[in-house]
Amino acid sequence: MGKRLKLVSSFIFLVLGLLLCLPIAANAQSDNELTIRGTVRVGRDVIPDVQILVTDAQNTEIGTVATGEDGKWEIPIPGLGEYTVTLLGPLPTGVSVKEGATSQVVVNVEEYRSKAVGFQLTGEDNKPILEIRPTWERLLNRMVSGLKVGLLVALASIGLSLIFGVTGLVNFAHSEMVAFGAVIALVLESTTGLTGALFPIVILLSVIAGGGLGYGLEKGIFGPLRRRKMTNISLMVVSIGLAFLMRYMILIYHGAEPETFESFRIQSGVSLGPIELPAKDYFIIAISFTTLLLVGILLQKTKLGTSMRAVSDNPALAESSGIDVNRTIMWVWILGSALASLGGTMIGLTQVVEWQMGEKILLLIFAAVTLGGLGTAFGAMVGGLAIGFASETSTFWLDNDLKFLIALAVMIVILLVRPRGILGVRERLG
Amino acid sequence: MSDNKSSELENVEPTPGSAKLDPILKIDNVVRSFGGLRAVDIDHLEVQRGIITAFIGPNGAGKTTLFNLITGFDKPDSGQWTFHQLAQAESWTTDLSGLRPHQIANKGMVRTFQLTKSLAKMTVIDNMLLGAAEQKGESLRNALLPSRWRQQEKTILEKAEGLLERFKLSHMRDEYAATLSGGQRKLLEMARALMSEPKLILLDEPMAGVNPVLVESLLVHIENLRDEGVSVLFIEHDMDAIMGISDWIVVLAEGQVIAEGTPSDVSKNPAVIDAYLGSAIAEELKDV
Amino acid sequence: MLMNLFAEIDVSKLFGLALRTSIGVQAATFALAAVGLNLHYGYTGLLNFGVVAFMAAGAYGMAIFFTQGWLGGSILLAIASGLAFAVIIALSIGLPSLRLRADYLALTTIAIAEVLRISFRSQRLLDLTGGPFGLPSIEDRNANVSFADVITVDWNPIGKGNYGAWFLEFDEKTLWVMIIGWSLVSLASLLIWGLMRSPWGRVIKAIREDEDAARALGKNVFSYKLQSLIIGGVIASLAGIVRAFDMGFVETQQFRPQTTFFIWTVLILGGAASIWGPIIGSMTFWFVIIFSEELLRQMVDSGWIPEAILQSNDIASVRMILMGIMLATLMIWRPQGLVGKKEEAQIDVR
Repeated sequence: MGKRLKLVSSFIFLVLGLLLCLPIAANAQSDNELTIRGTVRVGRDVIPDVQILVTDAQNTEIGTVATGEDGKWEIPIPGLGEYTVTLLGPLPTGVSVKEGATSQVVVNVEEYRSKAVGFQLTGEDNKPILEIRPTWERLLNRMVSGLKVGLLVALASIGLSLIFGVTGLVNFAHSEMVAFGAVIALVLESTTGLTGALFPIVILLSVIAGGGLGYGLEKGIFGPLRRRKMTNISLMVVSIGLAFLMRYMILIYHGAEPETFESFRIQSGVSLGPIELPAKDYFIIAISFTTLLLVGILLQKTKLGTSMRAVSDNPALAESSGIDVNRTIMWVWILGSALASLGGTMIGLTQVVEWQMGEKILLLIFAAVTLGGLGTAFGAMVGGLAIGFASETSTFWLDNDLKFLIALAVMIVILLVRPRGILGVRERLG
Repeated sequence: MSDNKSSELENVEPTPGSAKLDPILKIDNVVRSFGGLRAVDIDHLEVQRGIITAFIGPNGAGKTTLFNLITGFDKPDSGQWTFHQLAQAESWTTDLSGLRPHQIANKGMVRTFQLTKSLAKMTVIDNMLLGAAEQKGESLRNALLPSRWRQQEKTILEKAEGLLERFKLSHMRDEYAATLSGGQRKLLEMARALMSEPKLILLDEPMAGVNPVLVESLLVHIENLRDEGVSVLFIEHDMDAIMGISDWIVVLAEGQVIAEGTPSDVSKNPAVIDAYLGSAIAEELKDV
Repeated sequence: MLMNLFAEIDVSKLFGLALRTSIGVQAATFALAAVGLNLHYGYTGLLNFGVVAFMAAGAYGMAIFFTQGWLGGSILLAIASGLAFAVIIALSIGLPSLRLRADYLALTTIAIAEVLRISFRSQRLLDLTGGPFGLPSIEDRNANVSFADVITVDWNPIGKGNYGAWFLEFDEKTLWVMIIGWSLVSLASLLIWGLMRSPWGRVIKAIREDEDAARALGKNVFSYKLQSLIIGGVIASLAGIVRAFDMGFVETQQFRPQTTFFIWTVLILGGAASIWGPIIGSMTFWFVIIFSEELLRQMVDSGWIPEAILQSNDIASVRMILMGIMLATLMIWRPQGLVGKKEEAQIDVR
């Protein structure tokens, strides 16, 4: 009876979710809706699949949208005032923002009429008329982008899963550790001036800083509290408090404005067969993939990795086999936090660095580890790839603002039907 | 062992799965596996009404698992078991397989736990009041209108205080259960289980961790239960206690029933001694 | 030097503003939501991290029904619809996930609350929920027309004007909503008090501590948890509705997870599993928050805090940092809060 109830409820959720996704009206905007709109083009050639972001004067996100096949985009705004329109990309090969022009335009909406905004783009002089890529190619590109997001979510999630595995703690502050990595990298880049080819040093430094943060948190907060026999639920609530503390400290000391890394501002695309991505995306995919591979090797082949897995499976047994549980836990925190930092830096690289980035990916990360199985690093990788890929690719069909819905719906369904996730071992039912 | 009980059991075959004159519980083909291991594998087992039946066996024999299965706290891979609430009355038989634990408890089959679940943050008297069945005030519809449950609450209170008196816990009435000693908690759990006037009570290691003085009074309480008509099923390791008060013994090893019979039957059974081979219990058995 | 500091601080304003907020509508709505959460978590042991889902259900349910003119456009029926929506949410959360253990229940409840919020915010539902901008529409809001007017203007028995003195001066609309809010807090607290001293409450307390013990005694644990979820959920949805009347509009920004955690802080601060906990927690919380914010603001304005450490537009963030610190330190050093009982405070995995 219980199982049937679960399946029925899951089905209801999915149906509700799908209903929200189906186009309710062909045109969601009504006639006297106040909007900002435009067409992204080079000369007479329109460019589809370019992301546009609109923020208001307080830097609050109003909406993002991708240009359609006709290169057109439109975003409703709440009222008159000043707005910032940012061209996020990606731009196809050979197309870039004109010298002296900007990818970020500030407009003042003073009348109750739709406001048009344009960007100045140029293409290479000898380039033939831009062909609009066929749908399957665009889908393929969206999928590769999904792979990239999946890798990043995986990077960001491993730490959460491992920490849960060895200590039983659901660390709500994990997403802020991701944001920390991005912010530190940004600060490092501007203070040390290590841009361009030297940027990998910045990445390395931020990873080290992340590891340090993990060490600090375990040594200063969670370790002592655990030894005081505080329950995991209480610790989870503490981590929530910590998350807010970290998030708003970042807001105060970094500021509210989204920023991008100097090294990798808007780039034009680089082709690899039918796939066309900004150069930095290839870099990101390569680094993320390699890191995940290395983590996998660490967990399977090294002594430290084995003790991590052993403590995760059965701490008492691990201890009696001579493994130093506390030291293993410390290393898990350091590694998890370092990976989170790397994930954050990469996310900042491919999107933006802003104080709310932790809050935005928190539930994505939870969805990833829940799907893959809380407690296993491989679960986090699988879950992260799946969730990231699914939510990013879904934007091909769904509105941007709904893409988290997919991740959340998956998470809820998993928790109801198979709480231990794909690779998880222990049953979680109460 | 009282006389009429021994007469009821005289003609029962001391073999595993034997039929009883008036079974209160019948278990058929119950299997529970963990991984590749069969924790419980019972072809047929009948429990006689109105007597004290002991489940014994080496550690890991599956005794507590079996308790969990028949009281609904665990799901078997397969199997069926029925509860015969009224003697010789087929219409009062309930198929318990698949029922949830609270439903089974409401049928009159109440269990206690190995690690006592006395609700530490509630007072002793509140623990007791909780145990009563069919309380009108427990339903939302009546809860906000005290006039609907005041009277019943008084009746339950009297019963609770009576039981506390009987179990010598009256002086701890208003204390939090957390302040009770281990043995007192066992008594409390037993007393609480009696509040609903069960037909069959299952005690999981009632003597474990209880000091020897209290053990004596516990045994007396269990015998009194039987004398009042409550069927008792209990798991224990303390051989003296078992041999002393049990009317019938079921021996489990590796999930299966390897022997059944009166205490004297069982203590002479070579299969039983084999199962306990090498343990101190085997020595104790020889002394019986 | 400290004397110089005191001279520059407007102490009257400091206490005045803090006191004003701690008895105001915001304190009342948070107290009401905390009463609901108290039943869920304090008494039943359910780790509900999706409190805002219930508040959103109430507020949006009411606003949608009223704005769309369904059920005759009656405000009372709209409110009833909001409550009904909250019951549906409780069932949607409860039926599938009440069997999960604590941390998984926590994740599920947050996820469901976010699904609800993101759905309401979606541009596809612009006509129904106002999408990212909420209800009523921007034009209505600019013209000062809102669903709240029925309550705050049409049905307001208090004559137009300002009442009170010093910093505790309120206009007739705010005063009316304050009265409604605190009355609801009292009624809800009374309800919970009555429930918890009945046999029903006894079963709930047993469930919080050990579900299996309750089951072994014949109690249908699942059913009780669901009842608790529904009752607490309806109370929380009332909080959402009152807040909507106070602000005059609803938008999804009001229902982010951080609001849930504000309410958690309020409850823990006051003392979970106590009748006065939510009330004392909310009033104390807001007093402390506004007091601190105002103090910092004055210190920054008068130059006592250098710009490098804090600027005036950072003050809003201080509220969140304070909440985070409060939540963490309470859990570590005083989980029973101000008026809770120490024995009740242990959080066991459920």
